Amino acid sequence: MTTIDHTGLHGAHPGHGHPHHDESYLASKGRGFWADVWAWATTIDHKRIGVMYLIATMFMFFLGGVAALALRFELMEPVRQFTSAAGETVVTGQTFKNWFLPNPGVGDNNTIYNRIFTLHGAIMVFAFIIPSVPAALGNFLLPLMIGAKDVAFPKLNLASWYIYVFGTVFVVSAIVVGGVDTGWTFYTPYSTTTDADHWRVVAMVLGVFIMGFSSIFTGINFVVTVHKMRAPGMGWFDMPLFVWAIYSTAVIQVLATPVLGITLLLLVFERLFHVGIFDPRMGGDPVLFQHFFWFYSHPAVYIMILPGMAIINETITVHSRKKIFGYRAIAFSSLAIAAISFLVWGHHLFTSQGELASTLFSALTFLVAIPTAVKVFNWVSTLYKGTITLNTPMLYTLFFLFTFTIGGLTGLPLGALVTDLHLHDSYFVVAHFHYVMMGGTVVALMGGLHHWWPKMFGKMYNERWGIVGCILVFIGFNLTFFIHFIIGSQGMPRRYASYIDYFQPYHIASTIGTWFMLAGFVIHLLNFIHSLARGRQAPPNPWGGLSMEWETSSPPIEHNFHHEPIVKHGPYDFDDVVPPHCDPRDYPLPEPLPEGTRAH
Amino acid sequence: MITLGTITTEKNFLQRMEEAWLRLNFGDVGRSTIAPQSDFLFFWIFLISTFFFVLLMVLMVYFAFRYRRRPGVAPERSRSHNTFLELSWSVIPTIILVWMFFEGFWGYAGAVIAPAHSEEIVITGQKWSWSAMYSNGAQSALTWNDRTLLKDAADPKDFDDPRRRRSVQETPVFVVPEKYPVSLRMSSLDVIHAFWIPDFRVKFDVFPNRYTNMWFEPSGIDPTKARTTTTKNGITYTYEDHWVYCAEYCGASHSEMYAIVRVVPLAQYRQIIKEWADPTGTPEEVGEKLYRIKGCNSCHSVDGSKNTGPSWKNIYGRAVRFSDGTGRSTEQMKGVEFANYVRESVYTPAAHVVETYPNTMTSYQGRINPKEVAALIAYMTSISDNKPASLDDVIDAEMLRQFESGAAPTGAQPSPAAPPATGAPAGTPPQVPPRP
Repeated sequence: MTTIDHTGLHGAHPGHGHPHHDESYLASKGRGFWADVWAWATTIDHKRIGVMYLIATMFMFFLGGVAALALRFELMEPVRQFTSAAGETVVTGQTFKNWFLPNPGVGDNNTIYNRIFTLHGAIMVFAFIIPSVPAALGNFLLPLMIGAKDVAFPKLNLASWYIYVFGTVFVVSAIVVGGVDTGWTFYTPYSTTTDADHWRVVAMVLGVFIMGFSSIFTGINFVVTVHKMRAPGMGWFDMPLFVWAIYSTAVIQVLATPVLGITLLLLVFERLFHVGIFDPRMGGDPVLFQHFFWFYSHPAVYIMILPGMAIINETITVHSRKKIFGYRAIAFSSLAIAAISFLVWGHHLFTSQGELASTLFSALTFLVAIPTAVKVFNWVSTLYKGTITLNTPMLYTLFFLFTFTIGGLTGLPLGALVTDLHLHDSYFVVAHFHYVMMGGTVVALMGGLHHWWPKMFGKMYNERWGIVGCILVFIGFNLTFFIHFIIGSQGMPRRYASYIDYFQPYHIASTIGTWFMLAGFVIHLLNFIHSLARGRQAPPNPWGGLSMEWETSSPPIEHNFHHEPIVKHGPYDFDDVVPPHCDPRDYPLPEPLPEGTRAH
Repeated sequence: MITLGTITTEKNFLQRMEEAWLRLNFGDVGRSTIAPQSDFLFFWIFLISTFFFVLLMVLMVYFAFRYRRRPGVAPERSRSHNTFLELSWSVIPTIILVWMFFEGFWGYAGAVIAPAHSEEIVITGQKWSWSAMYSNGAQSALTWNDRTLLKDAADPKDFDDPRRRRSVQETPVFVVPEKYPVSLRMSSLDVIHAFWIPDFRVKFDVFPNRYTNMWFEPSGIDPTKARTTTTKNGITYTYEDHWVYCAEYCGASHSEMYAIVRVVPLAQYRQIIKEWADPTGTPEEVGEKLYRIKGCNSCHSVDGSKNTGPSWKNIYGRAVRFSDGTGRSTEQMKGVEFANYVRESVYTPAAHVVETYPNTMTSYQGRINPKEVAALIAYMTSISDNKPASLDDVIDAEMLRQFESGAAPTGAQPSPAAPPATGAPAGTPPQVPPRP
């Protein structure tokens, strides 16, 4: 187990530090409400910044989720025009026709649909999934897990939060004044020619550009923190695997995000100053944009999924009380995924680039499947001979293994050239990346949030309602998105506001699925609010975890640890160590190994 | 591999299973000669994936149940590392993935290189319609929607078929020959589109600054889905329709950017494109055909319903207001002034944009000649209540006389129906040379 010098843990330690150092990081300084607000707004405490990120990203998740519900609602009926028995022309399915429109008469149902799916994609990708796990949970946990007082550059950390908020203001303002309909990918020349008299596309692109800096700042911070601030005695292979995966993510963030920034700036230059880079009418090349864009955005897919894997590494071990199977394989596969992720962007262009490029990118794409498969095999093997508790975090972990495996396997026909010619830009792709992004990252985030909730806020949530919410999300998620595989391979294209009648029953079922998910998430939200107001006080180590964040109190004190922690055991030595703050009768250990033998 | 359509060969158990699965998953087996390659790989990826998925899930659920926590019971020690296991679950998937890559590559190689004797069709995409030009210069004059059902032969069956779409706008219908390779040379007039025929399992992007190519060979007309129709000129043919979608997001009416690929027997294919190459008749009749051929129908309705552009119904003698604040009175929308307004709108659409409509129309300079504009003007007056006393009030008499001569109004000189590269006479199926 990791850890620490226990002498400092219980109660005040006389003669050491200031008294408020032993208070929870959440505690008010007692100088009034506005003083507390100011203290939060100017905090450089990684835990407070993590909580601020959590609130901000969850708000964006809410916005993007509302957009998703609206999209699915529109798709319940295809837009149809037919002649009634009385001989009148009837148009049905125009759900958004009467919504607020900035230019009445211009927009129709389709335009609003297009704006909403752009809103959904851009918010979910740039403002929710990319920052959620690393910046919220990562910020909170990474220093605790490696036994540090804070991240390496606390002020940069705070700056990254403000930059993130500033960027989202741009994006949201572009939406408030009427919306952008380019899709989150901003493909040229559509994005450089649409909506020509307005600044909305520019505002949205600038917003994403600004958010990129918050991502870079967080990445730099984490890379330096992991390299320089590990507790004494913690080697690279003594780190929890959460840290390995977040570290890999941070490396990608630092290397790839500048490319997105440059690309988006070029897009703004083309729109504002008519520099012909991507628009063929000015001598540009539209496919060049796709290459630039996916050179960032494919690694970004791994910025999104690696933190999900990071969470699973922790929840699966703690709740099955089992040493992770193949520690090194998992650690290296994180790095391998990070490295290969830079070489596969061309698989988004199988229907737009030359044959040689497509062939090479197809081969490289299959390469990235291997480390991913290794991780899944390792996680399932970890369960073998464990001591498994089926609480909310663990159910979410099993949920993750289910959906992420489907998401990964359905990537194979998309990576194979001949099948992708058919499946490209269909609902099959929509299903595939929702199984990875939502079934992977969001599900892991939900599991992680329940897992670390007692640590973050010092209160227990209601286990029964947590499980109910998890099951509802599971049913709703699979109902919504599994159907998309079927209609995609049958020929339903992406980003269609309307479709042939044949697909209507499938779309209705899919929409009903979103309502199950909504119910599940609302239950989680109420459960969390109830926990903050009325929840049972959380013990320092409610799950029997061995990584260092469980050493300190719940919620942690402002300086994280009472003494500089010293590593005495690995984060997954469940067979040999009674977890800190836990009753040994609750956590019986197997027979100790005979002297001189070593565990595998 | 399964041969589809009318030809059926003996199938073994696996092939029957594959076909059943394909029908379940895709709704149908692929309808082009490239499709079996794609479906074969998809089916095997599905089988292999299912095997690994079920294996993992069964183990996961079994472990979660078998090793559930029991209070006070100490766990058994177990290994957290096993070189043999870890190597095997790295190496075995790698071997399978290598096979998948090569299968995908060989299928792709066959799907991108068209046979030399292919029938070439030029496809043009624009916001938001497709148009096709055949080897003899003909353009499709056939459209489909539920209101008109089929322009030249109403078949009530079409209306009830859920595979059909009750369309807001008219969908262009392109014909392609059965069991004959067709190569598409594609380009776009504005943004990126993508030409996707799901039933043929082919798709490729369509760019504004380059030509892209795609080919397929329709594997036949499925007798259970075949319909028969007769054109105005008396060409009777059986056909099977397939949807074409735009698969690359292209703006407001992206989801309206449909077309239908109609597979017809080769002999009738030749006759139909010959008929289309030569639209004759009164100016109004030619105008009505051009309305579809030139893609006007994708934005302008002729029944008064609102679409991307103003409706042509009653446009003659209808006062308009423009987005720059100016406008035209009822009188200014009649006679020669009306004709000039239409010419301006066709050649420089951005000069005056009707209020509340977006400025999205591209110029038709070089794509519609003056005679064709005259025909369109004649068609517009014919569907307006305020008809002029005589077309002479609107269109120059010299121009009107050209229609009586019967000369083809299309810009391209119609050539006789192009003989296939093999030189087989039209009307008999050509001997298709073996694939290289």
